[in-house]
Amino acid sequence: MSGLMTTNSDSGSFIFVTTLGVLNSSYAYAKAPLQTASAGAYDRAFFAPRPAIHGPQTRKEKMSDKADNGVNVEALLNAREAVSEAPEAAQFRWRAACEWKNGTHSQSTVEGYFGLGAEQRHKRTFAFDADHPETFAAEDNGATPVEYVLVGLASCLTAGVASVAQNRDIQLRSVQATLEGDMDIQGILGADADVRNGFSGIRVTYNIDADASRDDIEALVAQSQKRSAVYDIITNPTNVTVDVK
Amino acid sequence: MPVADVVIVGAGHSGLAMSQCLAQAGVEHVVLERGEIANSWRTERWDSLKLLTPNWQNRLPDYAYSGDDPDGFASVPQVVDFISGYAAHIGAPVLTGTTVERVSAGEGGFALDTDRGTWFAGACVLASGACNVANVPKCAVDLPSDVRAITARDYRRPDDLDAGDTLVVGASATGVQLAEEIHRSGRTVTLSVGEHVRLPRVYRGKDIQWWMTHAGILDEGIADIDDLVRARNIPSPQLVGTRERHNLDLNALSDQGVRLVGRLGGIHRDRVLFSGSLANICKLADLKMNRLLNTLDEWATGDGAGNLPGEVEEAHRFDATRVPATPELSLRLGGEGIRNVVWATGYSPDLSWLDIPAFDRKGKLRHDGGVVAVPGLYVLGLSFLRRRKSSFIHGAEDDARDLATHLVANLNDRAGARVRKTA
Repeated sequence: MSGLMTTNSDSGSFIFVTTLGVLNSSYAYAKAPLQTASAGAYDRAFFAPRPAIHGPQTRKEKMSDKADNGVNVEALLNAREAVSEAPEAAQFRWRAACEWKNGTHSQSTVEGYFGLGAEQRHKRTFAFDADHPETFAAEDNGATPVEYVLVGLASCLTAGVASVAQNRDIQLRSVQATLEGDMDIQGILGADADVRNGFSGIRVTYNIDADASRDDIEALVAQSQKRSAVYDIITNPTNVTVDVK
Repeated sequence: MPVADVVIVGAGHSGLAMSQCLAQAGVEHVVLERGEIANSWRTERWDSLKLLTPNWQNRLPDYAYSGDDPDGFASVPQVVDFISGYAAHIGAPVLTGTTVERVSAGEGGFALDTDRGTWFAGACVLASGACNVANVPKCAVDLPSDVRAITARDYRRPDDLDAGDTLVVGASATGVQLAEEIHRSGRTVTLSVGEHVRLPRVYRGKDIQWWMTHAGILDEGIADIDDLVRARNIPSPQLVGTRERHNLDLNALSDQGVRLVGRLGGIHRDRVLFSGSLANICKLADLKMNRLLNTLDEWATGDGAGNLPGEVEEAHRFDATRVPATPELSLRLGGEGIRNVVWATGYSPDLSWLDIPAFDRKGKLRHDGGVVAVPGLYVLGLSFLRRRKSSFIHGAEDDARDLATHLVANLNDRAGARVRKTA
């Protein structure tokens, strides 16, 4: 069965947990010990790309009866098995750096991270300008930070949809998501102490065209939430420490 | 110095089923029991508990339910009678009041230190239960001192609680049953819901266990399962065994007035925090239930068509789980808030006395369908040990037969090796 399937908010509606508002800014953060394993202690091939099968020719030859969403599920499943034997290889540390430009404009970059027992690098440095729009009397040099939160959630869930679909042999044709986060800015303006700073709720709406039943598509979206890091970060409390050097 | 070919630890349904299988194979053995027969049922269950399986389903090797209420659900005293009756029926060689304090492996067998001396055995079967220890989240230590906390293992009845609002953590069979009972005692109840298994008590006029049994789902074996770790950690289904055979899913609890919140996220000073994932958790459970019902419907029109009694009703689907539009994300603990917390967050076996390096990094006994890597050592009665039904009383029958066959072959091999060595 195929056709345009829309999965709407009843499977994709999340409520932002109030913790960050409740806990204020004095968090205790239990720091995970830095990994001491030597560089390259774990085979980077955990996640190594498989031989190219994305090209139409290869797909025709090898994958004609299999879904191909461009996700190397085999590598992910192998990694899962490998890290259950060597859990220390599963310890990652993600990093970002941020530099103030002017006003509410800042630029953040990500480049290096730690994982598989060694320092790793992205292929290049990625930069993100953040600012506030003119309605906030700012210059609008980039997305607002809260929009980056929506972007993070959207891209995490969508990556999950593709991965789960691949694992379940479901061919995706298109996946689109729209996200809305509701906010009462009396919180951040300090105008009403009873209003939290963050979102009061987030709604995600998926529009997915795939070779699958509506139930199967809803299950993709549900499983993607179950396995999503950003969904977890948003829906559950996290200890945060902010220090000044 | 008592010696037996085989020592079985635990005289519950699993240990006794193994005893009968060994007796039939002519293997000399003894069953060591710390208390009385069916000890956990006598001492570690809440008063109102009834089995999730109808009476007709309860059977053990060479023994079946013979009462006049096959569709009823056994109470705890009835389960104790059933298991004690079985021990008498098979004349099981049980030593009660004998607590095993240490099991170690030596040349050619095992030493079992008990509070009444040491036994030596060529083989050892661990049948001491899957629910000896109540799991409690780490954050439980952060509960304020004026909140009463109790595990489902220690809870007996609502009177064990203080007056006031009650938080039940966990929505497996245990959690939903306790939430309903405590709500009926007049307390305001909030149920913290993580991943759960939603099942109707009755589908198309037949008990869900009837469907699961006849469609072969309970007989699915470990070789049929992709992700065995996950299958073994699935919480018990949201079922209760009552005469009315009523559903006890989250909608039933909401209708009665129980408040639903997300998975427990943590405790911060006088607030308990819940995940914002409740909607998705419920969606997952609905989708999985419907997948099962699809399987049952397909069976009913396919392989099962000949097995169906005439009066099976039309296929239908249940309402989706209703989730509050904005579930509470935190609640006050103590004071005017939550006064009781009931941990219904699962159980673990207690094998702390097993002094043999057979555990994985998470402290779980490593085994392959009940066969531990140490030759001659076996385990019974754990969730999905060999089959989906392994955690049920009747699941012990096939598991015990399989493992008894393996055990006898192992003893014979070793005896043969000794004979060859001597010759």
